[in-house]
Amino acid sequence: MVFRRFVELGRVAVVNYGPDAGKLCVIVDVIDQNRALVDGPFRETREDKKQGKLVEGLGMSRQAVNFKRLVLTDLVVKGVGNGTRSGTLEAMLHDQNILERWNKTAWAKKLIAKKARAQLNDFQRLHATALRRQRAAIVRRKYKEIVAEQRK
Amino acid sequence: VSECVSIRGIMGKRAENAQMRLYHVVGRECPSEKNPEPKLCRMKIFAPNKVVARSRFWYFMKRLRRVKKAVGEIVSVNEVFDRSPLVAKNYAVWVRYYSRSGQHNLYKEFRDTHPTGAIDQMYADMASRHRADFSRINVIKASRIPSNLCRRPNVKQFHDGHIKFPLPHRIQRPSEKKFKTVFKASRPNTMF
Repeated sequence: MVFRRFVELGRVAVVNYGPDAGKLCVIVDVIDQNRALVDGPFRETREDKKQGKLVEGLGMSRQAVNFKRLVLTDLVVKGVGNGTRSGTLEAMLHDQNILERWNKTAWAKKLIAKKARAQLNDFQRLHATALRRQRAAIVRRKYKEIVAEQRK
Repeated sequence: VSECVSIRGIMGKRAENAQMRLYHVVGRECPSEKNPEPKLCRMKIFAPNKVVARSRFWYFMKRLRRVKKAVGEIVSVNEVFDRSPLVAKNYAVWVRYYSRSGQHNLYKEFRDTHPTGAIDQMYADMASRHRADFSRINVIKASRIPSNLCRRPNVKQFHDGHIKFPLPHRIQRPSEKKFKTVFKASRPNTMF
């Protein structure tokens, strides 16, 4: 059994319990065996005055979080020390494209899909069922073709 | 080492889940003919609320200064906050407690972001290790200490700029209590 994801300064984690569930954060310090000091220095989509546009956010303020509430990801922000401030961390996140890299992962896509599915209204759900039926029909048709080919 | 406390609240004031609060209580004996200008005494008291803080103030005043609540007055009670509540720190706590057969002194160290969090940990620790509850414990002193003065290996192991450890054998929890079920269809995965 090899461990691949470690608690370390700069490790990106997802919060999976509590009011901040679903948010990304970075481990900025280890308080003790049970808790990490964690920071997700972006606020929810805000205007970045330097870039002059809306910036997407991880949206978690610096706080102590229990490891039980965190799930470690494969991403690590390089250069994070235990004195790293929110502003510096924000710059590192920008430079290392953490949000982009996260959004590319299958994990992130699944989370988005889950959220989208949870917010469907009745008509959208009916539409989804119809699409699923259509996909199943296409698959079945193709399968029958292959079986027929095999029989020849 | 001086503690940094601030009476004015700052961002992220108190430790979120701490049950204890830190109060700065100032009081004195009431002025009398014998003693027209009595000295002010100040204490830093860890208590769940102001009422208990005042009570503990008189508890200590009676023992340390022979001043009863009946002949004294509390001048001010203020809650005080840590100046850097978002930094992991080392706290040293000097405790005097009554066991079943006598009284003892203890020195304990805790890692926390806020002194009240450390004191919470201390009370929990004393309750579990010595079966001592709030009424049997006197906090002599609680202060932040720099890493080089820490004595407990339990605390010193976190003084590592390149700290790195896995989270082995994890237990999956539902994201909300309402999703908790007694039975599950499949065995849990403990590696995540």
